Amino acid sequence: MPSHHQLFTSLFTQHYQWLRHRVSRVLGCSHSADDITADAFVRLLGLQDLDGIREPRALLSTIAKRLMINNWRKSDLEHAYLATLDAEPANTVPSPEEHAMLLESLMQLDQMLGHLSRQAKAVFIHSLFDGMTYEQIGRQLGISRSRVHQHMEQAFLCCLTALSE
Amino acid sequence: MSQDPTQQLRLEAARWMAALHAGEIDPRREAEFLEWQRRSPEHARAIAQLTEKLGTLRHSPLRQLSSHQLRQTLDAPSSRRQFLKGSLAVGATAVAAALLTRLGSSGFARPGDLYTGIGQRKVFELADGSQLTLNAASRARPRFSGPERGLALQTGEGLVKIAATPTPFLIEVAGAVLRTLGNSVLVRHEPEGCYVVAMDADLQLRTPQGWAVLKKGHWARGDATQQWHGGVALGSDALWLRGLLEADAQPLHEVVDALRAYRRGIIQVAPTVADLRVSGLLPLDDSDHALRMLTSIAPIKIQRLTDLWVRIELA
Repeated sequence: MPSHHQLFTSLFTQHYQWLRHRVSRVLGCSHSADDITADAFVRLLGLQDLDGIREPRALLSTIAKRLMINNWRKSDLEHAYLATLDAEPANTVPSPEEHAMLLESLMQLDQMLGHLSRQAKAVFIHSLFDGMTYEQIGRQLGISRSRVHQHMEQAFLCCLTALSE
Repeated sequence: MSQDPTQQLRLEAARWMAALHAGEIDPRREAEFLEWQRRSPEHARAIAQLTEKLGTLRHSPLRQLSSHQLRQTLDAPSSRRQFLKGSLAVGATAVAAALLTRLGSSGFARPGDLYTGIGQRKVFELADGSQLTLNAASRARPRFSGPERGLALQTGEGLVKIAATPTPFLIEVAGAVLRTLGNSVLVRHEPEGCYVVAMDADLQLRTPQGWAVLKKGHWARGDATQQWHGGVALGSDALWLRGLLEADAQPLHEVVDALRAYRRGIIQVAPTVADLRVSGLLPLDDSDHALRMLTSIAPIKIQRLTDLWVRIELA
């Protein structure tokens, strides 16, 4: 029975070039393709049961696709964030580290809130970041207190689901 | 009706979280919650894990964003998700290459706000030589366009030492506006409006009838309707500069509001104790100690649901 390390080495040698080629065709840039491909194999390395993988190329494609979607989503969020700054000009500059941390947190929040409705996201943000009561949120958004409560339940459910993935 | 047990657990945990955040748990419901938590380590773990995650996010750099900004940002459409669905199979496209230039664009400099994090105080020099000291968890936006000078305090509290020039310095907070030529002003954003202290000279408050004078050494509370009321300041308003909070027969919920800026996690105050009057000098930089001191000042007890989540209740 080959060890985890042996299995991984064998998967890597058999599929690395293939995946890199495929990713770089999608991205049109070999430099980013290197990053995505390497990242995909790092995720693969983290899996317990390498022996049980039936379709390594399908799995690697799926992982790489998810990584690319995450990158794109991150860039969507960054652009939307920068747009909100443009709308309200001011005169200090967050450091690149602060900016990166902010984006990372945005990404986490975005993933946790997943496919909630805009209204449910708004409710959750007002509760979490403004510390508003359900009454205050209801008044702000023009919805009933019980609707706010429902949205909060949904949002927590969404977060719990995201945390277990 | 059968349901996946993991999903059932998440549903129950989500219901409890929503009920706890509503902040109106009576003792009976609370006992039910604690009982539910005890029933299985999985229950307690789900609550602890979620609370910790939310606490981390709440005190992440995201707190510098207004809720409006956050909402707009998270509403960003994910059109490229659609695009990517078939893309690994389809192969190279020029569109993908063009979009790629956006990847990794993080990290370039741009304008932003002045802000402090939890437990942090910081001094900023403004463009006109004025100096702004921000209390913890505060955010302000300087406004210097053309001949105008001033700032908007968006959240928290700050002390502005205004450089003396012939141009009035305008401060906007919670829809209220004040102005001065050159002296120290303390401003605080409060849930219902703002709190202002004229530290060492008179200043002017905007009212529907024009500008009204706030005398040196006086405080005033106002809001977006520009109605003000005030009194003589006690001189302890700026003690936070030295890391202290002096409560003088102040409602407990106000004292806890000041501590929140210095503590990671959630502090819940039971409605039964929110209006208790407390007096004492509390250390801001050690919120655990401050909470312990409060239990010796007032008839309250601190219940720790997790490290990041404490509840203050009647003892």
